[in-house]
Amino acid sequence: MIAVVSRLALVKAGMHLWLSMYKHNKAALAAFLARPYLVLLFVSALGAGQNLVAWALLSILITSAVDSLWDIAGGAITQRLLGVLTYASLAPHRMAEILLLTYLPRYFIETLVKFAELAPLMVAGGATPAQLAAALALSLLGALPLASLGMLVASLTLLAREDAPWIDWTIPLLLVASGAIYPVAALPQLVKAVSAALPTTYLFSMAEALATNSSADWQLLLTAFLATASAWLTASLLASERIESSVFRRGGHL
Amino acid sequence: MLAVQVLDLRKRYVSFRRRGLFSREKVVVEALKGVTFDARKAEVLGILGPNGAGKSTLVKILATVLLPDSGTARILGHDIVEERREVRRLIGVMLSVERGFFLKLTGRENLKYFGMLYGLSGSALEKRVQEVLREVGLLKNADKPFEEYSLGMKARLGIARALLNDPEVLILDEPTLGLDPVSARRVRALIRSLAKEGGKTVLITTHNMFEAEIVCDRVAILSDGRIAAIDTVEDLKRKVADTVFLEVRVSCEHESSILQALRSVYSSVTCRREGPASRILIPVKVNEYEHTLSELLETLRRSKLKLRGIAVREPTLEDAFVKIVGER
Repeated sequence: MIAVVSRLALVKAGMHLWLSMYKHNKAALAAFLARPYLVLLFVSALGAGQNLVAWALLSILITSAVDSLWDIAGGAITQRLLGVLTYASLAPHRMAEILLLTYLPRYFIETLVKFAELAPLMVAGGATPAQLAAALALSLLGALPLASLGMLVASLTLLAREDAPWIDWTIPLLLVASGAIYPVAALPQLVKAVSAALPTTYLFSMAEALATNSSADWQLLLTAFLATASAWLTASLLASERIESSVFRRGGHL
Repeated sequence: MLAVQVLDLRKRYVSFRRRGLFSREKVVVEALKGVTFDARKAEVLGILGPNGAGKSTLVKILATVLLPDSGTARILGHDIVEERREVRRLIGVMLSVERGFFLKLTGRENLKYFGMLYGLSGSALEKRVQEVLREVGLLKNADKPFEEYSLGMKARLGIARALLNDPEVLILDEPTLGLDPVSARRVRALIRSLAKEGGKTVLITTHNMFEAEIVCDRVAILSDGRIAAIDTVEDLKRKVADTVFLEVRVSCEHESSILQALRSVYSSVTCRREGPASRILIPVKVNEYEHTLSELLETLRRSKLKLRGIAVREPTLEDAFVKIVGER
């Protein structure tokens, strides 16, 4: 119980941090509000998805997927450069927990705002209330498993003491391999194998099926999504625990 | 019980230097080579050392943000590796004056964030943030963004964060680095009062000998990864008390002629410029002092150059430091 309460304190700290950050950083707020529309233009220009609902939903999921990776892994680098990470690591929690749990409120707040921004377009595109509710659920939870990957990348980046963020090229590759830009069927065999191991592949398939009202094996997609997401989360938590010990030995977070 | 006990602490850094496309060379730097010392309760212990002596590595290990390779360190009886969480409840840390806060957030918001991370919440958090802001004299500027703070204010905010959990041991890495004299004096007074009125043990690293003299109860001199000496400032000075310094002040234009004349007689003459004047120091053994002084006056009289002054100077902590570090 005490452990849950103290972890909840990290979520609250994250809430305080990000609300304060947006309060003082109007330019970042404006960029954040404009981004879903820019991604929507990009997605529609690429021809990914078949209608307005699909474009809107894909835009939310792509930005959320990018954010959950970038905000944790990139956030770790930024906090190290600011010198904040040293003091955050003094909290009585593992560093990976601090990075993940302080980020959660930002993820939920931003996803809700993105959904609110694009929901009118989905309604205009003919989305039913049930579709909207399902889209909201997918948006809120769908890209979250990538946060665990972000945690892993963050730990590795700190271990390597590299400021060049690997995520810059990890994210586009991940989106392509997940079928966010091109259908998985059109990808080379090797990439297809990677696709099968990514939770985002099933997330984008569900989004596509939801937006186009097409028939899909929802149970299979959901099971595959949950299985890969759990596997990534478990692997990331286990790996980052070991990596973190090396980081503290080398001082990679300082 | 001692506040801090360090026994044979060792740390080395391993890195690789690229040599060509496919080969790399292992580079090992031994930062700490067996550091042993202790600090008492409510004591200000200064850790002095030249650049690269291992001061920052030592404080990072004691602050539990860096793991040692071997040796032990205990804070109020708790092992810094095995009981890291408990140690973190007992210590407050400031490792940099300039960095360590979110730039866009105000001082108060930053403190609230770290307070929450350290387990404070609700009205207790609000109250504690207010208390530490008052303690460091930042209440008036608490709601300004960190990026608008002066260096002195940043240093005080760093100390405020270190005080959030009301720690028994404070670990401060060069807390006055880069501060103007007024701000530095304010920070020093704060450190002193935290130890003497607040009963906190303070470990402070510094390059500033003056600061060490007026703030620290004892000073540990770290050189080449080892503690070369640890004692009160007065006792460290006594270690070089067999030497006094004859100080000759001349205008800069006469500096080279006088130096030439003196160096022909004395082997270890040093010279330092201070504005339009130069200060020439000649170390002299106490028992040879009278003879050397008359010899010096005669040498200067023969040179017929104009002097600005001549004085006898007692050894300072800097002299002790140079002697101890130089001996190793």
